[in-house]
Amino acid sequence: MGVLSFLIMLLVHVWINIERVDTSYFISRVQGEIDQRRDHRAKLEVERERLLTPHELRQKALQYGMHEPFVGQIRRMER
Amino acid sequence: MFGKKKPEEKKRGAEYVTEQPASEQKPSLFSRIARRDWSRFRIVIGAMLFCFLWMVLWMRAVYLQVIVGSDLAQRAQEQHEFTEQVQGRRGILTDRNGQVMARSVEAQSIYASPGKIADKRKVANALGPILQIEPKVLYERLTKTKRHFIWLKRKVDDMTAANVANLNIPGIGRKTEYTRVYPFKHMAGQLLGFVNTDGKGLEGLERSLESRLQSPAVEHVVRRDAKGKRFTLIGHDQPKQGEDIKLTLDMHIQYIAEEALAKAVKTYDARWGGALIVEIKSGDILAWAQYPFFNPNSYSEYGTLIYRNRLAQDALEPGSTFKPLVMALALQDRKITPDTLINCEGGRWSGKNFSIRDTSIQGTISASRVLRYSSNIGMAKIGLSIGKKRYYNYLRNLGFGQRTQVPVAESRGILRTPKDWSQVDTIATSFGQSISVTGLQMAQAYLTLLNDGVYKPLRLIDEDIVADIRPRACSAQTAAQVKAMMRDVVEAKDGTGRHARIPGIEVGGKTGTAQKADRRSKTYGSKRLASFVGFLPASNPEFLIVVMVDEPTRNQFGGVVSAPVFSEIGGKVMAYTGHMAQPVIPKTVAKAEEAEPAKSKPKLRPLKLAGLSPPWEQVVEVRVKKVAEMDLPGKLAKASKRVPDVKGKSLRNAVELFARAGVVPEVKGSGNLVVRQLPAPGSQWPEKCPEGACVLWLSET
Repeated sequence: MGVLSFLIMLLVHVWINIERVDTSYFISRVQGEIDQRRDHRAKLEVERERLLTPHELRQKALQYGMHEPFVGQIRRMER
Repeated sequence: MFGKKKPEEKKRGAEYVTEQPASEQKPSLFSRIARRDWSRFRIVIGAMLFCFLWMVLWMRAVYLQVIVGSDLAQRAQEQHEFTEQVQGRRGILTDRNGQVMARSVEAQSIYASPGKIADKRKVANALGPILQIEPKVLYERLTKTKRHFIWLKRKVDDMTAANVANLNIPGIGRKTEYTRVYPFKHMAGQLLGFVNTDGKGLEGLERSLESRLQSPAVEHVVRRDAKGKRFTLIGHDQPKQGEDIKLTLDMHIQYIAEEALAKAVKTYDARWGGALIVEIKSGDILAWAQYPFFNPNSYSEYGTLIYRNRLAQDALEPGSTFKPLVMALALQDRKITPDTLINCEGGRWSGKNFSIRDTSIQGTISASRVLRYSSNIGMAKIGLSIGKKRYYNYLRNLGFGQRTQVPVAESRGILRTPKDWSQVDTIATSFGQSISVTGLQMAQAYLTLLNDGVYKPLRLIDEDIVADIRPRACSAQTAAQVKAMMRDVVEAKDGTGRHARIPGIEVGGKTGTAQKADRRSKTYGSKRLASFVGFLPASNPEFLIVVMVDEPTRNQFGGVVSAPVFSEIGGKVMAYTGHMAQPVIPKTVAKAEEAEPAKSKPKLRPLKLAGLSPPWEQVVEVRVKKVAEMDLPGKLAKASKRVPDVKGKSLRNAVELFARAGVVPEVKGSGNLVVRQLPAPGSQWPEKCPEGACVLWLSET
């Protein structure tokens, strides 16, 4: 009975160890994915900032036939 | 077989014992051997063999675990575990609105282990075009090194890294590093500075804020399997990220300042230009502009002359922009009043060791007019009335001769101690010569003056700072008197700062045209620093603007070169911040041409140095096209073919009717009802609507 219990515990131990290694691989992979997505997001944010620079906005505005307002063209509406 | 036979043999044995007794028949040796029971022997042999093998196994186990166990464990650890340095992300720099000015993103660096590369020539030919390195150069780098690891190219773009990965060459690897990106490119480039390939700040804020921005490297123990694949069984903390820092800059105001400044520097073929915009109530620096531009994304392409943060690091003699500060001291000490008459000697005054000349010939005029006409002689006389020690202490209180609280590398400037002052020094200091100050110090001094003489530190980082304790420079009454004098400099008909005016708003300021010392001749040469310091609105100052243009060539006067820059920046800043509805039409270039028409094409000296074109040059080539999908107010309504009659209609209605036809009219006057219109009612809509072509006049003009 004692030997049987020992063997079962040994098996459980081996199984847990394998699971642990397997989970480690999984964690490593998921961590890599998170890092990758975080980095991708950072790059997208940088690109958004670049597109929002006043110079870029001016270029875009000119493409659409827009220009800076002349004197009198700005009206601020009271809330 | 052995087990199956056994019961049968036993049975036969039993029969033999009962049927044939041993006394009657004696068996032969052969038959005795043949009939002997071997089963026990076999069992014993089997057990012994098993025990032997078991012992061998145990001995091997003991050998591996006990005798050489520690060595093997160490070897296994070396093979499976390795330590890597993990660097966290460097802190982000943002402007006051949260727009990212500097950020670190991951980038791949390509390395080679030359010993593992079989055919170096083939590898060089394959990698060269991808990495944009000459294959021959690459081949030499791979063959002539004895090292096991060499960088081929650091921080390449994602596309290049992917192309390298697709080649899958043994001995060529990629390592993830962080690279610093400045999305606004050249904007505030000199202020931001840059980092080296290892991510260490070398210039500007990147350097001065290094301790806060950097992320300390952390060592991580990771494991890899037999295939070299990484996995982790050891929990570890993520590396500490660098601190994100919010600056007080506003990138739109920065753009406005840089645009106006660059135009002036280019127009006057100047060596350098700088502008600072400060919000007076908070002391926040809203713009820190310098030209020629410097793009920190490609810092290696520039020299120190370009990326030097000259607004903080270069101490120059300020010239006449220093006069209001001296005037404040004289007023504070009651040496003069604004109405005190001062003899300006007809524009020429000589003493024992000095000779002063004014650009405008003036006789006896009031102190306020001394400032308005920027008389050096008048200011010299005012300066002489102040004691040297008091003069020095006052200038110290304003921040000269010491660093500001702005966290940038800066010069202290030159303010000599009073014991070293001669009479000539006192005279020269009164009109801004014989003293060297940085643009930042000038902004700090004027901020104190405009804050009713109470010291308020300039802020570049959006966080609370503990202000140094300094004695009050002057009273609120004195500050108001100086502000009124500075208002006259710009707004009076005969003021030297006329070109700084902004339609629709009163501003104050002071021009400056400082002589620059020539290092070779050790005397003042022909080069000048044209500057303008102003504030707006004059009645209740909101913004302080300091403009400096160094060594302009086509015209050297601060009132002509720098004052229009102030005007352009001021007008746009007021419109942008909602203080004024009408931005001024840029007049920097127009004024310049008016001052001295160009006979030949400008040399574009700073552009050559910087290797950059100002943004508006590119604008010219953009083809303007009208896009049908543009959303305008009332786009869903059908536009009339001819111009509708909007007289008597409300402004909102009239604008909407015009907008349906894709026309945004100018509005003149105030009120709600339209009394006059252009184009006339019933006429054809103009194809284009240039300035003045589509106007609505309102009831109260």
